[in-house]
Amino acid sequence: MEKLFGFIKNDSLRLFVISFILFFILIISVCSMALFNIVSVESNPFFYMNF
Amino acid sequence: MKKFLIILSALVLAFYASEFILHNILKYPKRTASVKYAFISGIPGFEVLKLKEPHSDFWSVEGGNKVYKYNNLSVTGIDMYPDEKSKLIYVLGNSYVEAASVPPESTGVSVLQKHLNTIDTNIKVFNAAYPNSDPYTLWFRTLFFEKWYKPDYVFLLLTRLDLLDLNLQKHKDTLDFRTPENFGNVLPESKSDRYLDVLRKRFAVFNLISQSISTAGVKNERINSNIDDVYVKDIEKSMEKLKKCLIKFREKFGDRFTVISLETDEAKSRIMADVCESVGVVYANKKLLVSENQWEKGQHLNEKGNREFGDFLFELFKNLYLNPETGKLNSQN
Repeated sequence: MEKLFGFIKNDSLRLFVISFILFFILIISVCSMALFNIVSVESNPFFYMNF
Repeated sequence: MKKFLIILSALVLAFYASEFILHNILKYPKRTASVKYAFISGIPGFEVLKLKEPHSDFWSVEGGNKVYKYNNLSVTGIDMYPDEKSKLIYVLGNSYVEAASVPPESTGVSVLQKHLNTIDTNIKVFNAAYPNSDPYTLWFRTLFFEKWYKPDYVFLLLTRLDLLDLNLQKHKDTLDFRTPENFGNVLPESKSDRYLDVLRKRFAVFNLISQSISTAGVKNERINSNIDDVYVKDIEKSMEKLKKCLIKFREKFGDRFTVISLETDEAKSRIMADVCESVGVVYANKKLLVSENQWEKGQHLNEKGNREFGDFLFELFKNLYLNPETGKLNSQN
């Protein structure tokens, strides 16, 4: 990751960009899993529930 | 310390970027306020009745992950304003009647309301359905809502025999129709809910994760994902329970109570019809659970299915309660 973003010369900015990308991927992955979970349940009348 | 602040600010920015995508692009809603009422104790999923703030957004999956709104009475469908002149029709049932997968103006109940508006604008339809309900839990749902909106006519949807049998198996053989002690009382919000709501009402990300955790709980309770995997036939006992429920409805509403089903199997429809006949309740069947009326096989009714369901309800209401000559409500009703 450090090498990939080696073109960013400023250390602080590089740390910020790497952290941002990692956190963004993490949060979006959690949301995608959560959404998938809801989609798989809500389309089934047997499990259907109201939130 | 400097590194920590950089990482923290990256986390905050990543969170807001995710929130923007989820809420502003995908339109996933934030949580709205709701009131919880004590409902039927001892029946999982029905111990609490939750009513969301009027016009709250909700996420609908089957129709293509869309956001729809509850109406002014916090149920699905178009807005409805009953007054003392109104003649109110309750449509009771499960998620098939609730129809959260179609736009509010396209639910079967909304279609019925539109038809009725051409005859008499004082006839109002209330969607009193709730997912996974059965005649026993719907009896209490009727008792709950009638303190606000008194029903003049009641339609009860049994959907199909297998689902009815499965849902009635949740209850003991001796159904207790006594009103539970705290029934209908507002339940105080728990501390954890209060704190979590601070986040869930402000951020769609937290609302989504929280709802997914609730869903995971349900999934874990019943690992199988198909009705056929868990369904063990117990028709005889279930029909006894159905009979007891129908007697209660019949005692309360008399001829203004009607049972309907969407069962496609004639033999299974006959079983439900026989129970209704034995207690003097009108039964009507419309075989709507066919692929062209459903989102996918075994799923809920699509817009076409809901339109046909609304048309069916209207025809039934017209035949049962409207004077064929004047087109108005029969005077005895």
